[in-house]
Order: sequence, then structure tokens, then C-alpha cells
Amino acid sequence: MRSYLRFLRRCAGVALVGDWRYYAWIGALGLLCVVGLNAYAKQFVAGLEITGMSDQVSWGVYIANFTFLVGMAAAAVMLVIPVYIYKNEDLHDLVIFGELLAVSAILMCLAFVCVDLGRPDRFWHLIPFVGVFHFPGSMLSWDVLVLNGYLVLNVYICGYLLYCRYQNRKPAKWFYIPFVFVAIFWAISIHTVTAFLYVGLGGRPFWDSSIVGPRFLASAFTAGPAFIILALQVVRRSTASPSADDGRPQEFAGEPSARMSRRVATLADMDLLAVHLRELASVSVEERMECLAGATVLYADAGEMLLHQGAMENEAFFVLKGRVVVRREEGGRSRTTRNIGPGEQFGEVSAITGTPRAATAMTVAPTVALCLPAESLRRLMRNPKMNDIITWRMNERLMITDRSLLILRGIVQVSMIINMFLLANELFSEFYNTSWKDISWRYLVLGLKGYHALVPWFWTAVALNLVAMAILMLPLSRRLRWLNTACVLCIFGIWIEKGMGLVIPGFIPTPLGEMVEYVPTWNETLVCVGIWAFGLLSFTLFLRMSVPILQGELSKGSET
Amino acid sequence: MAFAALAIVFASVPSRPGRLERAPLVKLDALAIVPGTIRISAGQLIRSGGDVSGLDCYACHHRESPPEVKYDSGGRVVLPKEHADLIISMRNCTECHPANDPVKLDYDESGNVIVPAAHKGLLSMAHGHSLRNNNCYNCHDRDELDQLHTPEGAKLKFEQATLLCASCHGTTFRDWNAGAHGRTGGYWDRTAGPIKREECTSCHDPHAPAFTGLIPMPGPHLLHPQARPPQPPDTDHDAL
Amino acid sequence: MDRRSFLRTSAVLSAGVAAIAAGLAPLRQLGKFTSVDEFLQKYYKELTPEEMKKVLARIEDEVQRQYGIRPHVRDYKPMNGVEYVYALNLTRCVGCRKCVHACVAENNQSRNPEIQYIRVLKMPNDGTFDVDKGDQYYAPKSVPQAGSFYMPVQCHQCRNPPCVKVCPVKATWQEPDGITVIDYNWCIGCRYCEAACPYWARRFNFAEPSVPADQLNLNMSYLGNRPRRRGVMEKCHFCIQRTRAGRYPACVEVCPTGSRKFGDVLDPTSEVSYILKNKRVLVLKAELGTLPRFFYYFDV
Repeated sequence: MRSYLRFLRRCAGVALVGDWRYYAWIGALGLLCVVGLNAYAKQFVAGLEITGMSDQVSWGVYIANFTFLVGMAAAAVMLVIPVYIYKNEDLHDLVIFGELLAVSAILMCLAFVCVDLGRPDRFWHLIPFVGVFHFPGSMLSWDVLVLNGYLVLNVYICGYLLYCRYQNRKPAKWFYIPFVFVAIFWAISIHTVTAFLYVGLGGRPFWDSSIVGPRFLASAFTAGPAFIILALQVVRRSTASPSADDGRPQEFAGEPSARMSRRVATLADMDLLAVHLRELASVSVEERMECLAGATVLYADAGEMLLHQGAMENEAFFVLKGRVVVRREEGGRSRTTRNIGPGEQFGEVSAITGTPRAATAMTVAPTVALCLPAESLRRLMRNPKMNDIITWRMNERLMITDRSLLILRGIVQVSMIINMFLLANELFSEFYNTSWKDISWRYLVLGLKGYHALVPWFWTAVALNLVAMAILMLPLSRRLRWLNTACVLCIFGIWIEKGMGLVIPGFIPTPLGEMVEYVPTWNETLVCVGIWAFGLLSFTLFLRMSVPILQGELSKGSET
Repeated sequence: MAFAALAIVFASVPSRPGRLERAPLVKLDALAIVPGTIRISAGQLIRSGGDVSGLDCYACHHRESPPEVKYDSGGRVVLPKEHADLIISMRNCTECHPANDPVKLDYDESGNVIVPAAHKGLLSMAHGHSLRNNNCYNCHDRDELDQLHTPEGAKLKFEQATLLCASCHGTTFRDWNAGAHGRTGGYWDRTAGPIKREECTSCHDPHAPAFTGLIPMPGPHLLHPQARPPQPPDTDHDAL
Repeated sequence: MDRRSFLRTSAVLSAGVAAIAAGLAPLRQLGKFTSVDEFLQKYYKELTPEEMKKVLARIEDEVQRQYGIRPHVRDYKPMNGVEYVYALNLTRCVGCRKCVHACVAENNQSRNPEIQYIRVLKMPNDGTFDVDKGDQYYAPKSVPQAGSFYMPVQCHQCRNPPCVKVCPVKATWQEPDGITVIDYNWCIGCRYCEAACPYWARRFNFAEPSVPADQLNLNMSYLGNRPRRRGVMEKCHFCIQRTRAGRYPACVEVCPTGSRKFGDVLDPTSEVSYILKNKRVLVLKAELGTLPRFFYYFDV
């Protein structure tokens, strides 16, 4: 327990440290949060009259944002599907980012619901067995359950995986794999339940359609991964530093010392390794002798370069003493992918796969390492426990590769196509025949009885989505600049389509045919801005805490 | 520390929720919603112990010579202007006129009330289309002026006027009996108290039974008036 | 942590706390928002009679404090073996809106911002019951106008109420006598019921309601016309303080043309039983399956 508290304290400590840009970003978000808080305080005193909502349009931007963000939270867990079901290793680490985004999004959803309530002090009426919880009759009660459950689920999974990483321990399968699969199912259900909030209202024909649920999911799975694509690039950029001119990471500039020395490895070295690498105990002495063929022990001072990115070597290293940092250079910037202490390995990727070195390794303390030739490593990995631990550690690198971004691009592409197809279905069904049953659609698309406030919003959203879809379908979106443009267009287009195009028109006209439009007030907008700032702030802090853990820099081993 | 400076600057931002724009309050006449009838029937007048001198026909008329029915140039029955006081006094003016603006009756030299132009119909016979009731003695009894008579010849007192109406308006009377026609007030639960039903002539003037129009009370107001531009009255809503 | 970073951190923290405190400054004008008793008040159906008596006394205190007069707040229980039904004669309604304002006076609805439970629709007399063709803002010099009929709409107290189904805390439910009621002290103000009602019958208090003290109706009921606070829903409740005492609702009594009929449908001698048996009745939006207890009928 105490070590967990220490872990939390160190996380908090690292979250408050950064460069001037980080402080500026956090400061700006914090300021916006306080502005939003102030606006909400005014609303709390004056009542919801201070918003643009009325009896005619009784849900506004608060619920519109809530709907959009539930979709984001659901889609963030989309990343889990390729990793755990299709065993795609590229996205492995990024699962945690997706779940952290889900946590931030759910926090924002809960905030939006709270500011929309007329009597938020009566929230306790919703608590089962304490208040009166109308389950399973009311879809809103379902939503309360699934959203809070999703929050708990994601906080647990992230927390568990990050804590295990911090302790450099392989997470126990039974503590997280079942929950991950539950999370996949749960993610789809939170957004379906939110859709059913609307679909379940027979008195509102705009929403009383079975296509609303699929449209929700399609648009969510477009906007969510699009946001993650952008967020990952921000992480990649901000955790990297410019490379030195000779291609080496800047911190590593300087002449490699020639004071490294090697000697032949003995069984005693294996025993020393077994102290830090418990799985080695299952390897018999005979096998260890076999693996020692060609093995050496390397002694290096701090600041020595042991591996060069791109070099064609295939030795694997196990650290016996000291600390090694592995950095990868990509696109002119380099970042730490791993921080390796005693018992852990590096260089094993080239040894196993025969590819050139993926990164550069440098000691940051006087280090002693056991070097195994590729054949020895493979022999060692015939032992199943060794195979397990080495493979797991091999995948525990923070690699935000372009390939992972392209996989996400594929998800956004397909989802956007489905989203536009479903919209086309809706438009045909509403406009081909001349029944006037669903005149809210007419209001949204063409204007009705002289009221047309939402028409430009609708067509803007359609334009943004179509352009984004076109870009995504073309090969040129494989280039990051175009991909990022498409992602930004996606996010804005879907935000407008879901917020203005789905929540507000359901109220216009009213069930008695009255036409009253809705314009959010400044105060309402400031509350929304404050909650968005709060969400981005929490996501930033989460990333700021998790990236060092995933890189290995923040770990039990580095506790002073 | 720019962040600290920003925070302090913000601390001095004014924080009062501004005045909210609202639709103006509508002044309503409270009496307009007090349940009352626009007319007082003869039965009500008698039961309430009011001034029934106007119902004493033989104070002015002679038994042997019932008054002749007078017709106007269009051949319609004209209600005698001597009865204007009686007809008007049986009207409950506050049902249409606000209590704080009481109606003043104007009289001419002979002491007859001058009917304002807006109520001209009050003194004309307007019971039935196509001059169906073009004879006072369809309802009033020639021989007994203080009584009414049905088509079959049954005699009815003024306070039994409902039965006279029923002799022609059978379906309405049937509905009225069951409670489906006419005003209801009081108690629906008869064990808790009495129901209050109105007779025909409490609402309908027997000489001009059709209702004239009412001035409608104010319509609804929006919470945010700027959300809906004011529509001209009676816009064409069929053009969607 | 060295002194410099300690000072810096504490400066940042105190600046942040100051900013948050300044941001929350509007709360100083909150006034009396809620009392501990009101906050902890149990669900209506779980209150014992003694607790209910305390609650009623507290409400009377609150109203007296706010308006200067002490009302009489009762908890009327439903009568046994009674089911209320409402009938409205579309042949006779002239659109005078007296029902709207009688309701406002009887049920202590907010005058500003305006809350009215009844909406009168002026419909064109061209064979349609499509409410989109209705006009709710008509203001001619005299009603009725030729070529139109008038259709007032208020809560239909549906037998299959969508509003009851969606409330997450069961703050609204249907009583045995058919009235759908709201516990104003339990409602959390999520407005899901307002979105669910197909007849747009429910109203929300977007601001603190204002009723002139001299127009306050002092005969109040817990589930009915006691003054509400902001942030809760309200709607027509068939004048529960009248009907459960055996009287007609205010809208029925004031209607000058006798278009409104109310009564116990389980009593075969009531006027509503007669109407349902003998008149051509229709309900609005019957295809939604709400089974309203509000019937429109015609004279023949």
C-alpha cells in the first residue's frame, strides 16, 4: 500500500514538471476552467434561465456536448479491439492512451450532465438503494450505470497496467484481460444506451428511428480515433527532442568513450542475472552453459553508447548493474522508448528478428551488461518462462509508429464512410416521399416556416465530413499533414452533426407544432468551454504521468 | 510567474449574474377568470331574491289586450324598446367588461336605455335562421303574458324555460341532462357537495341565443423572446 | 524540495486557489437555496404520516417566509375506486383562454417567467388534426374566428405515460386515481420527462418562479399547487387540491361555453361516462399508444 502511495506521489510530482510550453498550456487550460466555474456559479444562482434553453428546446449545448463526448469515450476503447482481438502489437502501448482519453471524456460527460441538472444538489436521489433508482425502466438510469461503470473500469485497467509497468512486473492476465474484454463490450454499450435515450422517445419522431443508434456509433468511431491520431502526434512530438546533426540524439552528442571493456561470461554472471530476472531460475544449469557459448560481459561508464540505431548487429544485452536508456530517432526528432535497469534486456529485437537496430542505447550510469549472441538468446527463449518475459518486455516500448497511426486512419476512414452512408439513408427516407411526418428534418436541412438557424450548420457539417472522407479515401492521407487535416475536419464535422444536427432539431418544432429556436447564451458557452478545458487538462495530466511510466523512466527502479 | 499573474488578474473580474431579459408581465383582470355566466336567468333572478318587478308583465300590459308583435322593414320581429332595460339588466356585464371599468347605461328622454352600437343585436330577434321564430308568441303565451307555452300548448312559468327550450332542442337537452352540455361547477363528487349546473337561459339569451364573440385573454410568452421573431397574426401556416 | 521550488509551488497553488475562490464569488448571492431538512427529505412514497406532517409544516413555513402569508398545505390522498377522465367539446370551445389563466391563478404558477399548463391551439377547419398546422399565438379582437376551431392541450394523464417511464428517480408517477403527479422535492431537474412528453405538457422552472403574494392561492396540496422552486418540473395535475376534495378543476369551472367536462369514469352516471359512451371522441396522437385520459368530443 505504501509503495502505491509513493507511486501516486511520484506521478503527481512528474505531472507538475515540464517546460515553459507545458506550463503555458496547463495555465491556459486552468484559466479557462476557472472561467467556466465562474459561469456555472452564475448559473447556479440564477437558474437555467441564464442559458438559451426553454420549455420548447429543453436540452441544449450541454447535452449536445455530452452526446458527442460519450461517443469519444466509447471510441477511445476502439483501440483495444485490434490489440487484444487481432493481436496487433503496434498499437499495444497506445491502448493505455485510448483508455486515458476515455476517462477524460467520461469525466467531461459527467460534468456536462451535472451542469444541465436543475437541482444538482439532489444527485443523491440517483444512487441505488440510497435514493430511488429507476432501473431498468428509465434509459437515463441505464446511462448513469454504464457511464460510471465505464469510468471505474477504465480507471482500474489503466491504473493496474501502469502500476505494473511502474513496478516492472508483468501484469497478471486474470486481473486485466477479462476486464479489457468487458470494456470492449461496455464501450459499445455506453454509446448505444445513450442513443437509446433518444430513440426511446416515441413523442419525438426525429429521434424515433432505428438508424439513430448506428449513426451514433459510426460518428463516434470516426471522431474518437481521429482525436487519438492527433493526440498521439502531440505526445510523440512533446516527448521528443530535436536530434543532433550527425543523426544521434542530442543528449547523446559527444564522443563515445573507448573505455568499455569486455570479458568472457561465466555461470556466476548468469546467477547474478537470476537475482534480478526471476524467470531465469527455471532455466537449468546445463541450458545456461549452452547459452554461455559466445557470451561476454560488458563494462561501461555512464554516457557510453552501446547500440547505434540502424546498425546491423544482433547481440542481445541483459543489464546486470546500472541503467541504460534507449532512444529512437524518427523524422528528425528522438524520444526515449525504454529505460532499462538490472534484469531487463535491450537489443533483443535485432537478435530475434534480424532487423537493423531500431534504436540507440546509452548508459546513464556505470553499467555492467551480459551480452548474448542471437543464437544464445534463441536457445534461452526455448524455455517458456523466459520466452514469456522476454517477449513481454520486448513489446513494452513506447513506440508511436507511423504504422500505428495508419491503422487508426483505416478505422476513421471506414467509420466515416459508414457515417455518410447512414446520413444518405436518412436524407432519402425523409425527402423522397412527401409525407410531412418528420418535419424536423425539413427544418434542419432546408428550414421551415421561415426558421432556418440550423441550416448553415448542417450543410457545413456535411461539407466538412465529405471533404474529410475524400481525403481519407485518397492515398495522400497516408502523409501525416493530410491525415491531420482530415482528422481535424472529421472532429469538427462530427461535433456539429451530433450536437446541432441531432440533439437540437429533435425539439423543433415542439410536439404541439410550435417553432422556437435555440441560441446558447454566452454564459452557457463559457460553461462548456470550462468543461472542455477541464477535460483537456485532465487528459494532459494523465499523459504527462503515463508517458514516463511507459518509457520506463518513472519506475520503481528509479526511486531514490 | 505568468500563471500566477493571470490568476490574480482574473480574481478581480466582476462576478454578478447580469439582469436577464424577460418578456414583460401581463396585467390581467382577475375577475375575468371568476366562474360566472354572462346572463342571469329568470329562475336565478327569482331564487336570488333580486328585483323581479321587470317580470311582472301586467304592471304595464292589460290582460284583455296582449301587445301586438311589431315588424321592421325587413319583416323581422322587433323587440319592444320598452323591454330594453329588462333585457339588459339580465345580462352580467362583468363577464365581458372588466370590473374596474364598469359599464354605464345611457338613457334617452323617455327613460329608455340607449343600447350601444356594439350590442345592437341585443334588441333584435335573432332566435333561429330563416325567420323561424318570427313571432313573440311562439314562446310567450298571449293569454298569460307572465307565462310561456310549448308548441303542444303546455304552459310553463319563466323559471321553467329550460323545458321550453327542450321542446325544440331535444338533443341538446338530452346532453344537458347528462351533463355533457353547458357549464358545470361545484362538486363532481355529489357526496362531498352539490354540483352547480346552469339553466339554458343563464348562458343563452332566449331572444339572441347564439354567443357573440369574446375578447381572448392574452396568449403565451416565450422565456427568451429573441428566440422567435414575432409572427403577424393569422399567418398562413399551410404553406410549410 | 528546495526553498525556491517550494516557494514557487506554493505561489502557484495559492494563486490557483484565489482564482477559484474569485470564480465562485457569484455564489455569495445564492440566498436560501435549500435547508438541511429539504435536502435530506425522503421520497414521497417512503414518508410516514408523521414525517409527512413535518414536511407539510415546513412547507407552510417556507411559503410564509417568502410570501408573508401562511397557507394551508395538505396531502390529499386519492379516493378509492375513482378514475378521473377529462373531456373537451371541440364544437363549443371558442378559444377565449380563460381556462389558461384560471389555471395559472388556481395553481400558483409563475407569472414571470410565465408558466402556463394549458396551451390553446387554433386549428384550421380543413380536416386536419395535425398540430403543426396550429397557431398558439393568435390574438384577434374577438374569438372564435371563422374557419378555425380551438383545441386546448394540457397534460393528458396518460394511462401509459412516457414521462413516468423515463424519469431516472421516479419523481413523477401515476396515482391510483389516474393523475400523474410530481414530487417537487424529489425531482432533480434533468428534463428527460419534458423531452418524452408527446403533448408538450410538462413545464420546467428555469428561474425562481414569481407569484404576486396577493394572488397566491392558499389552499395548497403537496403534490399539486404549492409554490415550486427553480430547477424542478411541474404540470397540470387536474387541480389535485380540488378534485381530491370532490370539486371540479378550475379550468372546468371557468369555461364560459361549458366545453370542459371532468369526472369519474368509473361512475356510470357521471357526465364523462355519458360522453365516452355516446359521443364521437378522439385522442391526440393515438398512434403513440399513450392511452390518454383526455378525450376531445363533438356535439353530435
